[in-house]
Amino acid sequence: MTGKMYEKVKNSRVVSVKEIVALAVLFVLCVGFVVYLAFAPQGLYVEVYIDGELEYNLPISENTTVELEGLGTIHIENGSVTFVDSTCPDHICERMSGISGSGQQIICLPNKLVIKISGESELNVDAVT
Amino acid sequence: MKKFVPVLLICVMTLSLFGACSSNYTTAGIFGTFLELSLKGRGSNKAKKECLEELERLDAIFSLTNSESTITKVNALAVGDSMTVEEDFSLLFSIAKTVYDYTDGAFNPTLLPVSELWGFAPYSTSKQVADHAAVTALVKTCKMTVFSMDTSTNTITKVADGKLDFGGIAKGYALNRLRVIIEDIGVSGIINLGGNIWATDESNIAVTSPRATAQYNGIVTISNTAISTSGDYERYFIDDSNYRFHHILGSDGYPADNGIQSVSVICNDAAIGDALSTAIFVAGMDKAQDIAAHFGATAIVLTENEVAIYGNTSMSYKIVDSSYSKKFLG
Repeated sequence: MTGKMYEKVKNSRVVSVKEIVALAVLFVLCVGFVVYLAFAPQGLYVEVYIDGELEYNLPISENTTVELEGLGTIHIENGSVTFVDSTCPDHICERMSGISGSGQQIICLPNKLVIKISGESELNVDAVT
Repeated sequence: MKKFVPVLLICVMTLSLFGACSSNYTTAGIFGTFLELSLKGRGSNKAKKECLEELERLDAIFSLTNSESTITKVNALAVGDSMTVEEDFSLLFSIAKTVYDYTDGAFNPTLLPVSELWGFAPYSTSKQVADHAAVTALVKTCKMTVFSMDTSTNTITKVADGKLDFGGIAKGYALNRLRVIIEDIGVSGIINLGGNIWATDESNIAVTSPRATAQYNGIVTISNTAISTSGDYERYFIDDSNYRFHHILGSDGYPADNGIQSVSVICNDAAIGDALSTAIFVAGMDKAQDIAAHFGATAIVLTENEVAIYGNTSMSYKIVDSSYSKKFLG
């Protein structure tokens, strides 16, 4: 490489400051996405569907009580989920003893309600029959 | 900077493409049960839409709680009268008849009048011990020969008084139909229609613990096939410490009482698998091997503290509930 050509390369900005900033932003976004995937909410969640719509998504690790207006009450206690005070005529849904494993469900057909546990468990279950 | 606009656009488009390529959907109260779809691949949303439409169509044929359904009209026929039914109805009748005949009525879709006496019918409001004399008299009339089906014209005739109930097979039949929908569109994943599951790829399916003594009883891995379970924990009541559940014997009209807690059947035809889970539940352990083998199915049968596998007896089943052990069949 001759000295003249070297000067030319040195003087022309191959990458502008703006572009460096944009690259940095993209880089941070990518790293953030990878970190999110690695540390994404693990453990089990309680999904509540009413007529096909996801209405609640609650961590099973936190004890809580959710009153579903006109349907009944969900209790999450010590990693176990129960449904009580159902307004349905048959109360089959209330007979389920607490559910705690991924894929397990409490179903109330008259109320079109599904309470389902989601998330990866060590048993790696895809569905429950 | 201009270069980065397209780059960003591509990033956003790729991410949204991922979003469009999978569909997870859960609902209850459809086809008298719940539906769970976990689909992957382009067309997942289209598949979901078509699955829901198909279930609606089948509900209008097979639902006993729908006063306008074909089955309700068939049940209301006067003795001697005939009516034309959908091809689905005719086909399902034939599949049901095949299982009914081979299992000597262990699977019997005409026990509805007896189920009504027990309060196990889908529209019953309360369950009770049925009157012995009434059950004994009525159960003798519950035979599939009460109806005759001309499959060339899809015409059904009520030969003698009786009622049909495809509750033990219609979900499996519907699952077959949903399977065809997702395969035609070319998406993969899992369809769970009320515990009747179709998995296109290798999937771990947990079997419900009948007495809730563990999270699951165990796990079986299936691929490109269906699994259906009948359990005594589904519709039941207890009277004077007698556990009464909805699998009624065609022989005496009383709930089965042979020690079986649940039967899970793995079968490439989900309708047959669905019917076999009831058939084996009612027929008992002695007939399980013969029935499962005849239909090329595998049955995982749970009794108190034991797991027995019939049909393809080498199928591996990972027991999760340590209070159960594998029964070796000799």
